[in-house]
Amino acid sequence: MTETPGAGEAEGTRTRGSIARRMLVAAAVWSAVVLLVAGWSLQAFYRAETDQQLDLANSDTLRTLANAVDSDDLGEPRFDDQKLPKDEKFGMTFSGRYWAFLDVDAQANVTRVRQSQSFFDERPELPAGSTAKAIAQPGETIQIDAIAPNDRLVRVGLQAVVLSGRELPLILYSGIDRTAADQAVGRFTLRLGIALAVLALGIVVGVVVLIRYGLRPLHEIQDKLGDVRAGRRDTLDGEYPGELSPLVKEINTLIVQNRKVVDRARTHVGNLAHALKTPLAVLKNEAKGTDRVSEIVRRQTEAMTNNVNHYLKRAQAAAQAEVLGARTEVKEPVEGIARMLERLHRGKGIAIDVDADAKAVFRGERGDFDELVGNLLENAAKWCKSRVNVTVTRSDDGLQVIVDDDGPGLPAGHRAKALERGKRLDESEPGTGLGLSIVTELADIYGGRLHLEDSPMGGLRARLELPAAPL
Amino acid sequence: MRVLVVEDDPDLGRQLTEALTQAGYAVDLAPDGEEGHFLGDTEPYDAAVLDLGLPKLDGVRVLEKWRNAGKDMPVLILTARDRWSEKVAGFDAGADDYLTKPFVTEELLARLRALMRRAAGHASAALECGDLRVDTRAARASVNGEPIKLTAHEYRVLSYMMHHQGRVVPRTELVEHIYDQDFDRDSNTIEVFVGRLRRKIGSNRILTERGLGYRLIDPKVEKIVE
Repeated sequence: MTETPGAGEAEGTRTRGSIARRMLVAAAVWSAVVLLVAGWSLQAFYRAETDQQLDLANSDTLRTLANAVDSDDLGEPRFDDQKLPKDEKFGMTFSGRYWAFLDVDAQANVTRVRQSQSFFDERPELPAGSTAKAIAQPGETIQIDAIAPNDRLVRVGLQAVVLSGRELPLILYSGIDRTAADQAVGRFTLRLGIALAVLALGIVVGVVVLIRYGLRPLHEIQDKLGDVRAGRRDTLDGEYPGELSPLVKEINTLIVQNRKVVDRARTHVGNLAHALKTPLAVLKNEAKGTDRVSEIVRRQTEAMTNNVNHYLKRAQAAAQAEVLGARTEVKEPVEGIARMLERLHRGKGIAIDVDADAKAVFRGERGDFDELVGNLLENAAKWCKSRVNVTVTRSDDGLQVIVDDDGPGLPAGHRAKALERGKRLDESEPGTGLGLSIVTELADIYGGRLHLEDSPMGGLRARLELPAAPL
Repeated sequence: MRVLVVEDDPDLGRQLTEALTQAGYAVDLAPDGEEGHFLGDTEPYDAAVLDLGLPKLDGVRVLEKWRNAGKDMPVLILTARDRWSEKVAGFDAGADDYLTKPFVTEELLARLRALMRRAAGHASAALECGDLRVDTRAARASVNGEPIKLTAHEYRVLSYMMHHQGRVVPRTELVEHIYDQDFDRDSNTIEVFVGRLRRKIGSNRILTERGLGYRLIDPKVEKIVE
């Protein structure tokens, strides 16, 4: 009951990563995978397209070569030079365009060659087995990459043709230097890489913006919950996205539930007070005799009354100090209590002046504020000659309630004692003596303080510092 | 003087009734808000003790209804809950004093006496009219310092007239203020009480205003002219 843990650190929650980071990492990994696959596919597609262009050119040349060769009666190849490919590139050394006729033996080894001048002093080189492959599928074009004259990579088309009177086929060769094409593919790949990298960056930035924007309602909820705890707001109001509104609804239900629980506790406490006090009154009045039993009953009921009062007030206060978002406008209750006490002391004729800042709002329950100010005012009204002044001001630190009276005051040495529980300095004045001590304890629960000082009006000044609710 | 007690706890109600009767008041006890309101509304009381937590009609509503109907007797409220807002509501409804349960009946009697005195415009606990003196605290009367033995009803008549000295008090008003509601009223008994009082305190102190009622005077100031 005495513990009032701060609502700041809720137990059982730890920060584990962040949604923003998770989403960012997931987005980065996923887009990297997608972009890499897309980039690789595009590059492969472009390369295949380039190969196809080269292959088409080779096929043309092979068709021309096939037209230019014939066989004589002995089965020897006979070339019609007029029909050989006309392109002048075939006559220029290492021009990049090559043709050749390859004679092969039964083991598919090249035995004799007629070739274009562009080969200069070199021979067409072919990967092992490629001629055999061409021979196995006569009439079909075999497309392969090979090292060509001048150590350049060439795209080669091979086709085996069977000439009449010859047992072994003749192999036609057409080659195109693919360096230029490969460079084009390389340039394309580079540009593609840059474009995709920019795209990736764009995606990451987009995701960051998305996360910020998407998580904004969550930050809003956090801010508003802070407001609720500080008493600036009753519930989480406003509109929220469909995904969050169930959560907000639950939180609001929880807030209302919290208030209800506190209210219920207070009602129970009040009922208990009511239920105990009437029997106590009966007992007290019944034990009027001077015999031993009456005396004991009297003394014990007095003790019970004091304890009931003390602990019920504390229980009420402790329950209320923890309620979420409690705030009490100060002006109206102070004026109500002042009005009541003036009427109560009509016989004596006192005036209670109230000067309360309209902006003064107490961060706590109405019942507790009433108890705090009521006890101070009741004391002042009891002891004053005719005047009591109440001032409530608001500063940056909190609220300050000052109650001055023009009574006899209290010597400095008695002040500490007046704040102790159950102490009554003047036993002849009616009252349980709980007034000032309950004020001290209540103020304690709320983190406030009560000071007793000399009043400029001649009597006692009670200065109460309390936490203020934000405006 | 006649007092209404509205209290739902039978033990406390009985205690209050006994204590008030002993102190010389005529007392009516209402066990719930409805009956309490009805009695206070229809019978003339000099004061009421009103519990706030009542069945059927709560104390603050009862008080509001009385005040709205122009009933201005002093009302002392009893609270068990001891919440300031409840007390403020009680006073705003027109209460004059409050007591928090549990309390001792002596305290209640003292508060009631003070309330009734204040309502009648008297400052001290002892009412005086010349050398006639009524101590409302002890429910005793004396003339010139000599105590007078009075029956409960005689005391009530004298006490009521002392509270309203100098004013003509009609016989019916006296009847209403000295008997509780269960008493079989007979206004002729008033004449008997007045007659006995005159014998005990001196015949020149209570004046009969024919057709109107009685008036308590200080014979040294005002002479009876028959």
